[in-house]
Amino acid sequence: MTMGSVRRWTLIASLAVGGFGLFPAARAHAEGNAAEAMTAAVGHEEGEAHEEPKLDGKKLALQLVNFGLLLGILIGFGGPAIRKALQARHQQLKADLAAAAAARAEAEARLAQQEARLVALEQEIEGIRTGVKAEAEAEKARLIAMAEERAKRIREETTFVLGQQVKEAEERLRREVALAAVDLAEQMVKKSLGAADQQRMLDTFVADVAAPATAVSRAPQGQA
Amino acid sequence: MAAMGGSVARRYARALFGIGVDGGSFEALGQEIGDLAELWTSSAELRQTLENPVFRPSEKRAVLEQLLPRVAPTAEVRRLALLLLERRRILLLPAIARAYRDLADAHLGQVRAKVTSAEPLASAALERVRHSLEQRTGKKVIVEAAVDAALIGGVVAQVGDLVLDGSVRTQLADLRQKLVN
Repeated sequence: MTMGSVRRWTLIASLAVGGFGLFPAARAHAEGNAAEAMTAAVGHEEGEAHEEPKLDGKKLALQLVNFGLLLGILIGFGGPAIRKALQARHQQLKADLAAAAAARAEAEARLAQQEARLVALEQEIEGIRTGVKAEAEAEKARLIAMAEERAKRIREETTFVLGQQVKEAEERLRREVALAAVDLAEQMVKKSLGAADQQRMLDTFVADVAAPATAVSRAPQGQA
Repeated sequence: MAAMGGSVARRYARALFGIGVDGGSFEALGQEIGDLAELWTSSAELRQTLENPVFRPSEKRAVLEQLLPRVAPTAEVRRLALLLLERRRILLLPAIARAYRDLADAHLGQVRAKVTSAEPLASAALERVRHSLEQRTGKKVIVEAAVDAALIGGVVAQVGDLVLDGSVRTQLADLRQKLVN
Protein backbone atom coordinates (compact mmCIF):
# COMPACT_ATOMS: atom_id res chain seq x y z
CA MET A 1 0.00 0.00 0.00
CA THR A 2 1.46 3.37 -1.10
CA MET A 3 1.55 6.61 0.85
CA GLY A 4 -1.05 8.17 -1.39
CA SER A 5 -3.55 5.46 -0.86
CA VAL A 6 -2.94 5.58 2.96
CA ARG A 7 -3.66 9.26 2.94
CA ARG A 8 -6.75 8.72 0.84
CA TRP A 9 -8.22 6.17 3.15
CA THR A 10 -7.35 8.31 6.20
CA LEU A 11 -9.13 11.27 4.71
CA ILE A 12 -12.17 9.12 3.97
CA ALA A 13 -12.20 7.89 7.56
CA SER A 14 -11.97 11.40 8.97
CA LEU A 15 -14.76 12.60 6.78
CA ALA A 16 -16.88 9.74 7.93
CA VAL A 17 -16.14 10.54 11.60
CA GLY A 18 -16.68 14.29 11.10
CA GLY A 19 -19.89 13.79 9.23
CA PHE A 20 -21.52 11.23 11.53
CA GLY A 21 -19.69 11.42 14.94
CA LEU A 22 -17.21 14.27 15.30
CA PHE A 23 -19.75 16.97 14.67
CA PRO A 24 -22.94 15.77 16.47
CA ALA A 25 -23.34 19.14 18.28
CA ALA A 26 -23.14 21.04 15.08
CA ARG A 27 -25.69 18.71 13.51
CA ALA A 28 -28.01 19.15 16.53
CA HIS A 29 -27.45 22.84 16.37
CA ALA A 30 -28.24 22.84 12.79
CA GLU A 31 -31.35 20.84 13.40
CA GLY A 32 -32.30 23.26 16.19
CA ASN A 33 -31.74 26.15 13.88
CA ALA A 34 -33.87 24.52 11.33
CA ALA A 35 -36.69 24.07 13.84
CA GLU A 36 -36.35 27.64 14.93
CA ALA A 37 -36.34 28.79 11.41
CA MET A 38 -39.48 26.80 10.75
CA THR A 39 -41.15 28.26 13.80
CA ALA A 40 -40.11 31.73 12.77
CA ALA A 41 -41.46 31.14 9.35
CA VAL A 42 -44.75 29.96 10.73
CA GLY A 43 -44.91 32.91 12.99
CA HIS A 44 -44.06 35.15 10.13
CA GLU A 45 -46.79 33.68 8.10
CA GLU A 46 -49.12 34.29 10.93
CA GLY A 47 -48.03 37.89 10.89
CA GLU A 48 -46.72 37.83 14.47
CA ALA A 49 -43.10 39.00 14.18
CA HIS A 50 -40.32 39.91 11.58
CA GLU A 51 -36.70 38.98 12.54
CA GLU A 52 -33.41 39.58 10.52
CA PRO A 53 -31.51 36.31 9.51
CA LYS A 54 -28.18 35.89 11.26
CA LEU A 55 -24.94 34.53 9.62
CA ASP A 56 -23.24 31.93 11.76
CA GLY A 57 -19.54 32.10 10.91
CA LYS A 58 -18.57 28.89 12.59
CA LYS A 59 -21.24 26.90 10.94
CA LEU A 60 -20.34 28.42 7.64
CA ALA A 61 -16.71 27.55 8.12
CA LEU A 62 -17.59 23.97 8.95
CA GLN A 63 -19.80 23.75 5.91
CA LEU A 64 -17.05 25.13 3.76
CA VAL A 65 -14.57 22.67 5.22
CA ASN A 66 -17.05 19.89 4.72
CA PHE A 67 -17.56 20.99 1.14
CA GLY A 68 -13.83 21.27 0.58
CA LEU A 69 -13.27 17.78 1.88
CA LEU A 70 -16.01 16.47 -0.35
CA LEU A 71 -14.54 18.29 -3.28
CA GLY A 72 -11.08 16.94 -2.50
CA ILE A 73 -12.37 13.38 -2.25
CA LEU A 74 -14.20 13.79 -5.51
CA ILE A 75 -11.14 15.23 -7.20
CA GLY A 76 -8.80 12.70 -5.62
CA PHE A 77 -10.80 9.66 -6.49
CA GLY A 78 -12.85 10.78 -9.53
CA GLY A 79 -10.28 12.93 -11.28
CA PRO A 80 -8.25 10.20 -12.97
CA ALA A 81 -11.37 8.36 -14.03
CA ILE A 82 -12.88 11.55 -15.39
CA ARG A 83 -9.62 12.42 -17.06
CA LYS A 84 -9.43 8.97 -18.49
CA ALA A 85 -13.06 9.15 -19.67
CA LEU A 86 -12.48 12.56 -21.16
CA GLN A 87 -9.29 11.26 -22.79
CA ALA A 88 -11.20 8.36 -24.22
CA ARG A 89 -13.99 10.64 -25.26
CA HIS A 90 -11.42 12.90 -26.90
CA GLN A 91 -9.85 10.01 -28.76
CA GLN A 92 -13.27 8.78 -29.76
CA LEU A 93 -14.21 12.18 -31.10
CA LYS A 94 -10.91 12.39 -32.99
CA ALA A 95 -11.49 8.96 -34.45
CA ASP A 96 -15.04 9.87 -35.32
CA LEU A 97 -13.89 13.07 -36.93
CA ALA A 98 -11.27 11.20 -38.90
CA ALA A 99 -13.81 8.59 -39.93
CA ALA A 100 -16.27 11.30 -40.84
CA ALA A 101 -13.59 13.05 -42.89
CA ALA A 102 -12.72 9.79 -44.61
CA ALA A 103 -16.39 9.08 -45.23
CA ARG A 104 -16.83 12.56 -46.54
CA ALA A 105 -13.85 12.17 -48.84
CA GLU A 106 -15.13 8.82 -49.97
CA ALA A 107 -18.61 10.23 -50.51
CA GLU A 108 -17.14 13.13 -52.47
CA ALA A 109 -15.14 10.71 -54.55
CA ARG A 110 -18.20 8.61 -55.16
CA LEU A 111 -20.16 11.73 -55.93
CA ALA A 112 -17.55 12.75 -58.47
CA GLN A 113 -17.58 9.27 -59.89
CA GLN A 114 -21.36 9.25 -60.10
CA GLU A 115 -21.34 12.68 -61.72
CA ALA A 116 -18.78 11.44 -64.22
CA ARG A 117 -20.87 8.38 -64.86
CA LEU A 118 -23.92 10.58 -65.17
CA VAL A 119 -22.17 12.66 -67.80
CA ALA A 120 -21.05 9.52 -69.59
CA LEU A 121 -24.51 8.03 -69.23
CA GLU A 122 -26.07 11.03 -70.85
CA GLN A 123 -23.61 10.76 -73.69
CA GLU A 124 -24.34 7.05 -73.94
CA ILE A 125 -28.08 7.70 -73.92
CA GLU A 126 -27.59 10.28 -76.61
CA GLY A 127 -25.54 7.79 -78.62
CA ILE A 128 -28.16 5.10 -78.17
CA ARG A 129 -30.88 7.53 -79.13
CA THR A 130 -28.95 8.53 -82.23
CA GLY A 131 -28.28 4.90 -83.12
CA VAL A 132 -31.89 3.88 -82.61
CA LYS A 133 -33.03 6.79 -84.69
CA ALA A 134 -30.63 5.88 -87.47
CA GLU A 135 -31.71 2.25 -87.34
CA ALA A 136 -35.34 3.30 -87.40
CA GLU A 137 -34.69 5.49 -90.42
CA ALA A 138 -32.85 2.67 -92.17
CA GLU A 139 -35.63 0.21 -91.32
CA LYS A 140 -38.19 2.68 -92.53
CA ALA A 141 -36.33 3.14 -95.78
CA ARG A 142 -35.95 -0.60 -96.17
CA LEU A 143 -39.64 -1.23 -95.54
CA ILE A 144 -40.63 1.48 -97.97
CA ALA A 145 -38.31 0.08 -100.61
CA MET A 146 -39.61 -3.41 -100.01
CA ALA A 147 -43.22 -2.26 -100.18
CA GLU A 148 -42.53 -0.34 -103.37
CA GLU A 149 -40.80 -3.35 -104.88
CA ARG A 150 -43.69 -5.59 -103.91
CA ALA A 151 -46.22 -3.14 -105.26
CA LYS A 152 -44.25 -2.94 -108.48
CA ARG A 153 -44.17 -6.73 -108.75
CA ILE A 154 -47.87 -7.02 -108.02
CA ARG A 155 -48.59 -4.34 -110.58
CA GLU A 156 -46.49 -6.12 -113.18
CA GLU A 157 -48.06 -9.49 -112.41
CA THR A 158 -51.52 -7.98 -112.52
CA THR A 159 -50.75 -6.29 -115.80
CA PHE A 160 -49.42 -9.54 -117.19
CA VAL A 161 -52.42 -11.53 -115.98
CA LEU A 162 -54.81 -8.94 -117.32
CA GLY A 163 -52.99 -8.96 -120.63
CA GLN A 164 -53.22 -12.73 -120.77
CA GLN A 165 -56.89 -12.65 -119.91
CA VAL A 166 -57.51 -10.01 -122.56
CA LYS A 167 -55.63 -12.13 -125.09
CA GLU A 168 -57.57 -15.22 -124.10
CA ALA A 169 -60.83 -13.31 -124.29
CA GLU A 170 -59.91 -11.95 -127.71
CA GLU A 171 -58.90 -15.40 -128.87
CA ARG A 172 -62.09 -16.91 -127.52
CA LEU A 173 -64.18 -14.17 -129.09
CA ARG A 174 -62.38 -14.55 -132.40
CA ARG A 175 -62.90 -18.30 -132.27
CA GLU A 176 -66.57 -17.95 -131.47
CA VAL A 177 -67.06 -15.36 -134.15
CA ALA A 178 -65.23 -17.53 -136.65
CA LEU A 179 -67.26 -20.59 -135.75
CA ALA A 180 -70.47 -18.64 -135.89
CA ALA A 181 -69.50 -17.17 -139.25
CA VAL A 182 -68.64 -20.58 -140.66
CA ASP A 183 -71.86 -22.07 -139.30
CA LEU A 184 -73.80 -19.26 -140.87
CA ALA A 185 -71.93 -19.71 -144.13
CA GLU A 186 -72.69 -23.44 -144.04
CA GLN A 187 -76.38 -22.77 -143.57
CA MET A 188 -76.38 -20.24 -146.39
CA VAL A 189 -74.51 -22.63 -148.69
CA LYS A 190 -76.94 -25.45 -147.88
CA LYS A 191 -79.87 -23.23 -148.72
CA SER A 192 -78.46 -21.62 -151.82
CA LEU A 193 -76.54 -24.54 -153.38
CA GLY A 194 -78.23 -25.55 -156.59
CA ALA A 195 -77.70 -27.94 -159.45
CA ALA A 196 -75.61 -25.43 -161.33
CA ASP A 197 -73.32 -25.08 -158.32
CA GLN A 198 -73.02 -28.85 -158.03
CA GLN A 199 -72.11 -29.04 -161.69
CA ARG A 200 -69.56 -26.29 -161.31
CA MET A 201 -67.98 -28.01 -158.34
CA LEU A 202 -67.89 -31.28 -160.26
CA ASP A 203 -66.16 -29.54 -163.14
CA THR A 204 -63.66 -28.01 -160.79
CA PHE A 205 -63.06 -31.39 -159.11
CA VAL A 206 -62.49 -33.14 -162.41
CA ALA A 207 -60.12 -30.45 -163.58
CA ASP A 208 -58.20 -30.51 -160.30
CA VAL A 209 -57.97 -34.33 -160.24
CA ALA A 210 -56.73 -34.45 -163.80
CA ALA A 211 -53.98 -31.97 -162.96
CA PRO A 212 -51.11 -33.66 -161.01
CA ALA A 213 -50.61 -32.77 -157.30
CA THR A 214 -53.68 -30.60 -156.94
CA ALA A 215 -55.08 -29.12 -153.79
CA VAL A 216 -57.81 -31.73 -153.53
CA SER A 217 -55.29 -34.44 -152.60
CA ARG A 218 -55.46 -35.37 -148.90
CA ALA A 219 -54.57 -38.06 -146.49
CA PRO A 220 -57.28 -40.67 -145.91
CA GLN A 221 -60.11 -39.43 -143.65
CA GLY A 222 -62.02 -42.60 -143.11
CA GLN A 223 -65.26 -42.67 -145.05
CA ALA A 224 -64.67 -39.57 -147.14
CA MET B 1 -55.65 -57.95 -134.21
CA ALA B 2 -57.14 -56.46 -137.35
CA ALA B 3 -53.70 -56.03 -138.86
CA MET B 4 -52.87 -59.64 -138.07
CA GLY B 5 -56.22 -60.73 -139.54
CA GLY B 6 -55.49 -58.69 -142.68
CA SER B 7 -52.11 -60.33 -143.06
CA VAL B 8 -53.61 -63.79 -142.67
CA ALA B 9 -56.41 -62.90 -145.08
CA ARG B 10 -53.84 -61.76 -147.67
CA ARG B 11 -52.01 -65.06 -147.36
CA TYR B 12 -55.18 -67.03 -148.08
CA ALA B 13 -56.13 -64.65 -150.87
CA ARG B 14 -52.65 -64.87 -152.41
CA ALA B 15 -52.82 -68.66 -152.36
CA LEU B 16 -56.23 -68.75 -154.02
CA PHE B 17 -55.21 -66.07 -156.51
CA GLY B 18 -52.11 -68.05 -157.45
CA ILE B 19 -54.25 -71.07 -158.14
CA GLY B 20 -56.62 -68.98 -160.21
CA VAL B 21 -53.85 -67.37 -162.24
CA ASP B 22 -52.25 -70.72 -162.88
CA GLY B 23 -55.55 -72.18 -163.98
CA GLY B 24 -56.58 -69.06 -165.89
CA SER B 25 -59.70 -68.71 -163.77
CA PHE B 26 -58.73 -66.04 -161.28
CA GLU B 27 -61.58 -63.80 -162.34
CA ALA B 28 -64.15 -66.54 -161.78
CA LEU B 29 -62.58 -67.41 -158.45
CA GLY B 30 -62.67 -63.79 -157.54
CA GLN B 31 -66.33 -63.56 -158.35
CA GLU B 32 -67.09 -66.67 -156.25
CA ILE B 33 -65.10 -65.60 -153.23
CA GLY B 34 -66.73 -62.21 -153.50
CA ASP B 35 -70.22 -63.71 -153.60
CA LEU B 36 -69.41 -65.96 -150.66
CA ALA B 37 -68.11 -63.01 -148.66
CA GLU B 38 -71.21 -61.00 -149.46
CA LEU B 39 -73.39 -63.90 -148.36
CA TRP B 40 -71.40 -64.13 -145.11
CA THR B 41 -71.77 -60.42 -144.51
CA SER B 42 -75.44 -60.20 -145.32
CA SER B 43 -76.63 -63.37 -143.57
CA ALA B 44 -76.60 -63.05 -139.82
CA GLU B 45 -78.15 -66.48 -139.53
CA LEU B 46 -75.23 -68.03 -141.39
CA ARG B 47 -72.71 -66.23 -139.22
CA GLN B 48 -74.43 -67.28 -136.02
CA THR B 49 -74.61 -70.87 -137.16
CA LEU B 50 -71.00 -71.20 -138.18
CA GLU B 51 -69.59 -69.24 -135.23
CA ASN B 52 -71.80 -70.78 -132.56
CA PRO B 53 -69.80 -73.19 -130.38
CA VAL B 54 -73.00 -75.07 -129.56
CA PHE B 55 -72.93 -76.70 -132.94
CA ARG B 56 -70.37 -79.38 -133.50
CA PRO B 57 -67.78 -78.87 -136.29
CA SER B 58 -69.28 -81.73 -138.27
CA GLU B 59 -72.69 -80.06 -138.20
CA LYS B 60 -71.19 -76.74 -139.32
CA ARG B 61 -69.32 -78.48 -142.11
CA ALA B 62 -72.50 -80.18 -143.26
CA VAL B 63 -74.31 -76.83 -143.40
CA LEU B 64 -71.50 -75.21 -145.37
CA GLU B 65 -71.18 -78.16 -147.75
CA GLN B 66 -74.84 -77.86 -148.58
CA LEU B 67 -74.57 -74.12 -149.14
CA LEU B 68 -71.34 -73.91 -151.17
CA PRO B 69 -72.45 -75.53 -154.44
CA ARG B 70 -75.06 -72.83 -154.90
CA VAL B 71 -72.62 -69.95 -154.26
CA ALA B 72 -69.21 -71.29 -155.24
CA PRO B 73 -69.26 -73.96 -157.91
CA THR B 74 -65.46 -74.27 -158.15
CA ALA B 75 -63.74 -76.82 -155.99
CA GLU B 76 -60.95 -74.37 -155.01
CA VAL B 77 -63.29 -71.93 -153.35
CA ARG B 78 -65.22 -74.71 -151.63
CA ARG B 79 -62.02 -76.23 -150.27
CA LEU B 80 -60.89 -72.82 -149.07
CA ALA B 81 -64.19 -72.23 -147.29
CA LEU B 82 -64.06 -75.63 -145.60
CA LEU B 83 -60.44 -75.06 -144.62
CA LEU B 84 -61.34 -71.73 -143.05
CA LEU B 85 -64.19 -73.37 -141.16
CA GLU B 86 -61.92 -76.13 -139.94
CA ARG B 87 -59.30 -73.62 -138.74
CA ARG B 88 -61.99 -71.39 -137.24
CA ARG B 89 -61.12 -68.52 -139.57
CA ILE B 90 -64.31 -68.42 -141.54
CA LEU B 91 -64.93 -64.89 -140.30
CA LEU B 92 -61.99 -63.78 -142.48
CA LEU B 93 -64.03 -64.29 -145.64
CA PRO B 94 -64.76 -60.58 -146.31
CA ALA B 95 -61.11 -59.63 -145.78
CA ILE B 96 -59.94 -62.47 -148.03
CA ALA B 97 -62.37 -61.35 -150.74
CA ARG B 98 -61.05 -57.77 -150.54
CA ALA B 99 -57.45 -58.90 -150.64
CA TYR B 100 -58.21 -61.16 -153.58
CA ARG B 101 -59.89 -58.28 -155.40
CA ASP B 102 -56.86 -56.07 -154.81
CA LEU B 103 -54.57 -58.79 -156.16
CA ALA B 104 -56.78 -59.25 -159.19
CA ASP B 105 -56.96 -55.48 -159.80
CA ALA B 106 -53.20 -55.19 -159.52
CA HIS B 107 -52.80 -58.13 -161.86
CA LEU B 108 -55.12 -56.46 -164.38
CA GLY B 109 -53.50 -53.02 -163.87
CA GLN B 110 -56.64 -51.42 -162.53
CA VAL B 111 -57.67 -49.67 -159.32
CA ARG B 112 -60.99 -49.14 -157.62
CA ALA B 113 -62.18 -45.71 -156.69
CA LYS B 114 -64.97 -44.87 -154.35
CA VAL B 115 -66.60 -41.68 -155.55
CA THR B 116 -68.89 -40.02 -153.03
CA SER B 117 -71.08 -37.01 -153.80
CA ALA B 118 -73.77 -35.07 -151.97
CA GLU B 119 -76.29 -35.93 -154.64
CA PRO B 120 -76.36 -38.90 -157.01
CA LEU B 121 -74.14 -38.34 -160.04
CA ALA B 122 -75.26 -39.02 -163.52
CA SER B 123 -73.41 -41.69 -165.46
CA ALA B 124 -71.80 -39.07 -167.64
CA ALA B 125 -70.53 -37.27 -164.59
CA LEU B 126 -69.21 -40.53 -163.16
CA GLU B 127 -67.52 -41.23 -166.43
CA ARG B 128 -65.84 -37.85 -166.32
CA VAL B 129 -64.66 -38.54 -162.79
CA ARG B 130 -63.42 -41.99 -163.75
CA HIS B 131 -61.54 -40.55 -166.71
CA SER B 132 -59.92 -37.88 -164.57
CA LEU B 133 -58.91 -40.50 -162.00
CA GLU B 134 -57.38 -42.66 -164.71
CA GLN B 135 -55.40 -39.63 -165.83
CA ARG B 136 -54.29 -39.08 -162.30
CA THR B 137 -53.32 -42.68 -161.44
CA GLY B 138 -52.30 -43.86 -164.87
CA LYS B 139 -54.35 -47.03 -164.33
CA LYS B 140 -57.73 -48.27 -165.28
CA VAL B 141 -60.22 -47.14 -162.67
CA ILE B 142 -63.33 -48.95 -161.58
CA VAL B 143 -65.69 -46.48 -159.99
CA GLU B 144 -67.98 -47.32 -157.08
CA ALA B 145 -70.46 -44.50 -156.56
CA ALA B 146 -71.85 -43.49 -153.17
CA VAL B 147 -73.99 -40.65 -151.84
CA ASP B 148 -73.42 -38.71 -148.63
CA ALA B 149 -75.56 -35.62 -148.08
CA ALA B 150 -73.23 -34.46 -145.32
CA LEU B 151 -70.77 -33.42 -148.02
CA ILE B 152 -73.20 -30.55 -148.83
CA GLY B 153 -71.72 -30.28 -152.28
CA GLY B 154 -68.77 -31.41 -154.41
CA VAL B 155 -67.12 -34.82 -154.79
CA VAL B 156 -64.78 -37.01 -152.78
CA ALA B 157 -62.86 -39.78 -154.47
CA GLN B 158 -60.76 -42.39 -152.66
CA VAL B 159 -58.32 -44.47 -154.63
CA GLY B 160 -56.47 -46.81 -152.31
CA ASP B 161 -54.76 -44.59 -149.79
CA LEU B 162 -55.24 -41.48 -151.90
CA VAL B 163 -58.20 -39.25 -151.04
CA LEU B 164 -59.22 -36.48 -153.40
CA ASP B 165 -61.61 -34.24 -151.50
CA GLY B 166 -63.52 -31.51 -153.30
CA SER B 167 -66.49 -31.39 -150.96
CA VAL B 168 -68.01 -28.23 -149.51
CA ARG B 169 -67.92 -29.82 -146.07
CA THR B 170 -64.15 -30.07 -146.17
CA GLN B 171 -63.78 -26.57 -147.53
CA LEU B 172 -65.90 -25.21 -144.71
CA ALA B 173 -63.86 -27.23 -142.22
CA ASP B 174 -60.66 -25.77 -143.66
CA LEU B 175 -62.12 -22.29 -143.44
CA ARG B 176 -63.18 -22.89 -139.85
CA GLN B 177 -59.72 -24.15 -138.96
CA LYS B 178 -58.00 -21.18 -140.57
CA LEU B 179 -60.24 -18.68 -138.81
CA VAL B 180 -59.82 -20.33 -135.42
CA ASN B 181 -56.04 -20.52 -135.71
